[in-house]
Amino acid sequence: MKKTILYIAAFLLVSAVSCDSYFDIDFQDQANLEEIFAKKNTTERYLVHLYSYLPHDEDTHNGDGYVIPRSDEGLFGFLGYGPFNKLRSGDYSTAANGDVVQYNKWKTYYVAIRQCTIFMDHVDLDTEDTAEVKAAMKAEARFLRAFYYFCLFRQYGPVIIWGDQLAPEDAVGEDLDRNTVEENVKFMVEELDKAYADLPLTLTEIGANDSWTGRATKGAALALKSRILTYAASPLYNGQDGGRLAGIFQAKVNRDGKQIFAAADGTKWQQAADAAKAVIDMNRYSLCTPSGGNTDIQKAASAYQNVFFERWNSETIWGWWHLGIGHSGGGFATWIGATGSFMYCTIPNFPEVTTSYRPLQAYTPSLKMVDAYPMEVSGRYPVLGYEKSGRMNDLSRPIVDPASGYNPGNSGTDEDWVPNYTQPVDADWAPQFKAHVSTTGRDARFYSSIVPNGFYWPSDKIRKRWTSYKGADATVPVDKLESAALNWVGYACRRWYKANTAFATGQDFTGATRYVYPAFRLAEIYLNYAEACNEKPDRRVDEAILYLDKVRSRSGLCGIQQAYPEIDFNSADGSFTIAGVTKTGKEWLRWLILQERWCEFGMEAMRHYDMCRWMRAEDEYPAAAWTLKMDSPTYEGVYERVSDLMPMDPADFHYRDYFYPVISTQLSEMVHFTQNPGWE
Amino acid sequence: MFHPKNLLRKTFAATLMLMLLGAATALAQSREVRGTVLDETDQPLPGAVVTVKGETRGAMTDAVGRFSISVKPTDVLVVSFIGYTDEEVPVGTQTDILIKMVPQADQLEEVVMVAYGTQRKASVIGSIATVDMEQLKMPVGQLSTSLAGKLAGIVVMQHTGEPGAGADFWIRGMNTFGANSKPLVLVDGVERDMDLVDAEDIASFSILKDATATALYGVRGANGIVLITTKRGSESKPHINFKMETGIVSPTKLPELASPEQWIDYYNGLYTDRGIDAPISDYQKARYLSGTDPDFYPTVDWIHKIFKERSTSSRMNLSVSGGTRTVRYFVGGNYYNEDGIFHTSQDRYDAGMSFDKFSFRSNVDINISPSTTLGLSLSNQFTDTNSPSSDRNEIYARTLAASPIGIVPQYSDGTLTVPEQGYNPWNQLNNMGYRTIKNNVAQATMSLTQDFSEILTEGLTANIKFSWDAQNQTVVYRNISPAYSRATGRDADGNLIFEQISGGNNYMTLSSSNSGWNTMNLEASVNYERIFAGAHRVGAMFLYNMRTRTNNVPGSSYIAAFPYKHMGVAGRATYSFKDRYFAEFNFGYNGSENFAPGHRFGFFPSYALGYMISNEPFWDGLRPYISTLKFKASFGHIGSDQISSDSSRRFAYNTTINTSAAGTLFGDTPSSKTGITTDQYGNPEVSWEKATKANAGVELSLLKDLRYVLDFFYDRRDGIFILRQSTPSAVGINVNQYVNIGQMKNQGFDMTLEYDHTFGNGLYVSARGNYSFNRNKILYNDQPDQVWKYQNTAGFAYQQQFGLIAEGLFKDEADIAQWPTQQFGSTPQPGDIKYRDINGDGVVNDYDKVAIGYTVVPEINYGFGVSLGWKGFDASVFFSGVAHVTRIITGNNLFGATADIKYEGQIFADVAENRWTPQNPDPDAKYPRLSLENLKNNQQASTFWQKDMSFLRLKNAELGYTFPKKWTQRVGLSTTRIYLQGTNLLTFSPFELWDPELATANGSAYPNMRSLSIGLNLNF
Repeated sequence: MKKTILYIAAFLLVSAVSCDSYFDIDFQDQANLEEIFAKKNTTERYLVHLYSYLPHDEDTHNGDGYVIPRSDEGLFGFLGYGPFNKLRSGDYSTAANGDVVQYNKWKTYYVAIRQCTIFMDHVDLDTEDTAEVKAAMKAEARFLRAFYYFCLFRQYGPVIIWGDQLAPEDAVGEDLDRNTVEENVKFMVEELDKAYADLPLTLTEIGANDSWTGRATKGAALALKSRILTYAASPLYNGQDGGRLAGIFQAKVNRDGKQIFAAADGTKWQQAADAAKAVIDMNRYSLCTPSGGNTDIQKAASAYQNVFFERWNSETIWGWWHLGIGHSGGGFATWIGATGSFMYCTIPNFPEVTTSYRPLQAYTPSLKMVDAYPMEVSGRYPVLGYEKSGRMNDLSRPIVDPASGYNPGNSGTDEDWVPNYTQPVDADWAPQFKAHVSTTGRDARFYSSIVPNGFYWPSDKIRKRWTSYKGADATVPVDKLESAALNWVGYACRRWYKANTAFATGQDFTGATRYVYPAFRLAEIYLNYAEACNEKPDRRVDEAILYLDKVRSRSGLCGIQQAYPEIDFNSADGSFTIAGVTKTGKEWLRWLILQERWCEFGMEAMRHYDMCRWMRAEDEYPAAAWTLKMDSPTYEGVYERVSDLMPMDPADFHYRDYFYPVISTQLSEMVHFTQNPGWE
Repeated sequence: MFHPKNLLRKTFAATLMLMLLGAATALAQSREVRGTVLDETDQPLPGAVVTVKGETRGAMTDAVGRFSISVKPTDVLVVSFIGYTDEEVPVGTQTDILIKMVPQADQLEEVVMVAYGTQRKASVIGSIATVDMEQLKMPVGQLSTSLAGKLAGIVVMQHTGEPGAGADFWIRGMNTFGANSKPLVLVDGVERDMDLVDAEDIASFSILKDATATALYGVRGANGIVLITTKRGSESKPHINFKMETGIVSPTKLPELASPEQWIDYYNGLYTDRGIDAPISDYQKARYLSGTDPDFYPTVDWIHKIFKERSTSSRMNLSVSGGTRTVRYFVGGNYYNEDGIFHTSQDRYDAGMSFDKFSFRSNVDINISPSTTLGLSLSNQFTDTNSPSSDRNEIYARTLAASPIGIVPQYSDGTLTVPEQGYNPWNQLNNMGYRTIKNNVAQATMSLTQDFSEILTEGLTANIKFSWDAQNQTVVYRNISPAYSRATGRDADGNLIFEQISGGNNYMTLSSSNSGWNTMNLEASVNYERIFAGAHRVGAMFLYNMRTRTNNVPGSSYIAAFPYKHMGVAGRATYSFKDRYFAEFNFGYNGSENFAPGHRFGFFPSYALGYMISNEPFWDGLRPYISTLKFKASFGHIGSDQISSDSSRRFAYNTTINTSAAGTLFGDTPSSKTGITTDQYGNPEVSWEKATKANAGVELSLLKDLRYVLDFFYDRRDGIFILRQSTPSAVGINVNQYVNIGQMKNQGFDMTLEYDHTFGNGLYVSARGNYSFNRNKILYNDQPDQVWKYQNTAGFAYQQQFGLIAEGLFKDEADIAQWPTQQFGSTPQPGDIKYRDINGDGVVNDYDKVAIGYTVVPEINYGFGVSLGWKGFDASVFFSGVAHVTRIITGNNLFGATADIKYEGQIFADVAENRWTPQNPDPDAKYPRLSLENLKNNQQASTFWQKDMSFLRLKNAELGYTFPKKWTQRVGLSTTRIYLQGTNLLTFSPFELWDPELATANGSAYPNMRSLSIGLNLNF
């Protein structure tokens, strides 16, 4: 027995001594940062991660494309999904648990920025790549970091710039405040210049094969620089057009005592012009050209549609694959891949569609967007604005340019209808039908983007008219208003729908072609350049018109001077009046360039930022939820504009909405942070 | 020196070797003497232990109190029986000895289970609650289910009534907002699942609440401990206990949904309120309500279509215990079955819910020498659960959502269908296959106890114990995706014409998944207990333990494949003087693998003092009235080492990389590329969470019948593991770091009152009640101050509910106009909920949400009951209740659906009857306006929807009859009892929509069950 005690005693002693090592864990098989960056393959995969934070402006549901239904170009009809409509009505606060807080991307982009810096700090460890390739990858991270700063800059205004350093983990929130607009822009531009130096012109230069298409090149850096400098020159970031708002914005001073928003500086437009011209002078990109079509308008439509449906086309400077992330969760994410989510949300809920998930038709153009597209023959924009009731735009009372050739079709007589209309773009197969006159005679982009109620859905695979009203003979009867699957507006958007795609079954959605979202394309650079040339101190109207007309002519429109012979665009003082609207030549050209941007980039998340940077949104957005009269018992009765059908609060916009507020989560972390104007 | 990896294995081998040691001692020459043991009423006392003083030889009395034993004339017999004072009888020349036992005057010699051992009840100065096992024997599947209200200081919530589901429970409420707030459960000293133990197998059940009681468990004991010991044999002829019961179970409450007529009126009203034609015409309504054409005009009571009114449960236990001087045993087998209340009608397979549990336990003790005992315990539990293949939560949710006229569950000719939008819960239950879950647990323990009283010094024992448990589970899904069709009309013969919606198949596809764990546990201890000079009682214990738990199926997780390890030493020293003054010191010194070297081990001491004033000489005069009065106090530190609840974060010092991080698509044709990113930052400073516990209590016995125990406690938790929140998000940390900086406190009291009395006429009355109150408060959680500081969660209870303060409904437009603007969705209308503008900024928005009500874990838990016994009859009732508990309810059944209402827009009957409508513009209506629109305003968390979920239940009621022994003994039975037992028979609660105990905010859960059983208990 004594032996037993000794044994136990010895055992206890031994075990107490060996305690700590008992818990030792050998982590040698586990990855660490040094190992990751030692290998080319894993270094590249870290680089891949830096791209995972891309804003996905094309995704109106979860991506930064939320600005589409927030602006005046679209409506989101899935009323059960509230956040869009709260943003749209301006009915939100800085509360962290508020409805629209999902759009608070503050942390997302700062995480992205930190990841870029970590990558840049470690990429030199890579032993399997050449110095040139490593430099290019570092420049890529630098470019992306500048891009993510820009994403913050366009949403929140000027933000904290950490520079080339990793933000310290022990940063004291109380000490943090914004850098000025000037510092933000300077940092982004300098970074892009550095990135430009090391980025490759083409990916083959750094030995990346065609499975890597989509990585940044020199063009991307210059295109981003053009957009940044265009924004920086615009009134919101540059002097706020003087007046009351300038007083409010320019009174903002950060903790260093610096003025966050400076007074206007016209020379910024020169920088913007130079930056756009630098892209043009690369001579690497060209506008998309037609790949089919018999008539002029069909060719123009083909050229315009190719912007989306011809992948990595000659016009795309930088872009990304649409991920099909429009729907997450449920059964959607698994089978509605590719463009499916857009199709799902846009195509009509025909009875033939037998998938268990019925189409939603939720993303619709607004009546304003429908009115925006120019007339094919005159090349003029049909609607110059709207009569107002108080601050609200009355979309049933458009200010029509009589010289445009547009007929709003509100006479209540047979004059409002074209009995045997042929939709010009789909004329090869689509039969004639009775169309509302306002939907006729529009340009190629209209027919490539909009399907009005009563038109044939652009698929000869089903050859079916989309008629929607409250009658049993409608192809999509409006039988119950509670349905999520209801197009309230009466116009569908076909911009993301590749013509002639079938969509009867779930497989049609799954198999739908993914498309490349051309985030930066040459048309934008042309219009950036045109705008800057019109605005800069020594105006170059000839250059402005040259590049504006390049974009117009791709869509089959005549030159701007031919369309508006009564206006002398060179005149900065003389006033010219159309349908009671009076502007100077410079102002008309500015308006026409913005109108052109709207149509050209319809539903491409450009409109909202244009309206904000020009501080036009307060004037343009406020409007009720105008729709066609979808609960009419007849097709003919549908073409009346009503504002009381769609149960949605009116859109509203005040100066505070130019920037998204710094929400309470951040405010509580950084108690002395300067809030955006109007959100204090 | 052992290599750590081999340590367990080598120790195991050593244990086996030790078991071979030890020798049997020869028996001395002797003669046989017989005797009878009687109790105080001259009834024979079976099972009394008769031993020869100073030796281990002994015998046990049989069913008629008789015994026989070999003795020498000089021997003295010691007769002992629980609850009676030991009797010492010199043998002398007697050959048939009559011994009459005297009941114990007090509870001094009663024994209580404490950490790693037992203590005399008188000496216990920690806070320990025990429950009489008879109280836990209820016709339920899982032990945890029967705990509610039974012990002071325990919070039990039965969160679902699904067959085989256990209950969630906490000791003294929630002490931490960190990863783990659940108590440590030890079965026979080994960490094991409580619900795997059958109530019939349990010898004792106690909970350890304060620092003194739990300190020995060091880093694992901070949330309190449940100690369960299973029955073991004693020296006797075989005792056979057989018990059988069978009964019916039925839901305590099923939600009541709107009737077809109520629903049609509601649905039409949504449209007519907006000036739009009613979608269901009077003609259609009449067709629906007539029920003459269920295929095209169905009216379905979905709740009763999916759920049955009742089902059955049954239980059977058989155990044998007994033994000889050298071998003692307890062997028991149990079977439990409960069928669910799903309404199934499928011929091919059973998709209904059912739960079967088979368990077996064998505890054997062998004296391999007079002073050496070898214990061997084996047990096995096998459970088999059957359920529909579809996610059951989805079935509950769809059942509540389905409108009564949306769709026929199945056409009259048997054809299956689905609605145009949404789901058909009937298909999800019946026609999509089924799943089985088979779970098997095997547990084994070997232990060796050596008494060194004769070898070294009196009162010294040593024990070594090794156990290994294995668990494995297989889930098998058998899925069908049937074809669905929709009827479009009838042909000339009246047969339905169908259009197929989706083609399906008839065969089943199979998928399965496995999981499993194995655990090894080693414990070695030395115990010392002795009285010096008849007054100084000293005790000491020193223990070493280690545990390794391994996930057998770690999947692809590198971290999950590492075994979970614990190791430590613990000790206890106790001293008492004449059972008046008590002092106790406990400590745990143990470590956790979760921390960096140097931060792994911690020392957790606790101290306790007690004063039994009633044992003072000056108390002699008072003792007949106040038989016991004891004061006690304890203070100490305990720890907790769990970092994250889901085991996703272990090894806090380890920096990890996420190699399957988000990527994107690149390429001419889309090619998906995965990313790599930084993951958790290792923090070498992280160490265990530290609890400081203080307890002060008093125990009082009056007139020997009435006992009262009251404990006040204070628990402060420091170093709670939380993700760092205060780093500004502009720094861009992608995965927050774990730090030890959370602080929380918890305080309250618990008390127990017990009364036992046997009246002269044989009426036995026992009443007991307990009441616990605990309130916790987060002191620090590293969250920066909110814009409005009243929204900080620190300073409130963990899981404190926040919401708006509702001020009724808007009366009219004027009322809306004069009220601050409410910024929740569209502009309010009359009949919408009106909220208070807390901060006075003129608008009501998310900033006006403040702490309201309580949490979903009750602050007050209580139970009380009474048992009566008279001439073989016994009756008992037991109530349990909770209070200070609230839940914010939500869901389309309250708010109305806003899409596909025709198919998925059911509402509660109460909402249909008592909501605000333009026809019933009552500003005090019970429910607000419903609309086609999504009325965000009315869906906010607020006092309007916050409901008091307190309840009082008749938890258990039992009526039994024990047949007189003179009858039953003739057929060889020592006792025969029949009984009728019910659980959850009555529930009283201010909340009426569904059972308030369920963990659901919208009513979509399997209901809790009421059961009524009859049983038979036979003892041979």
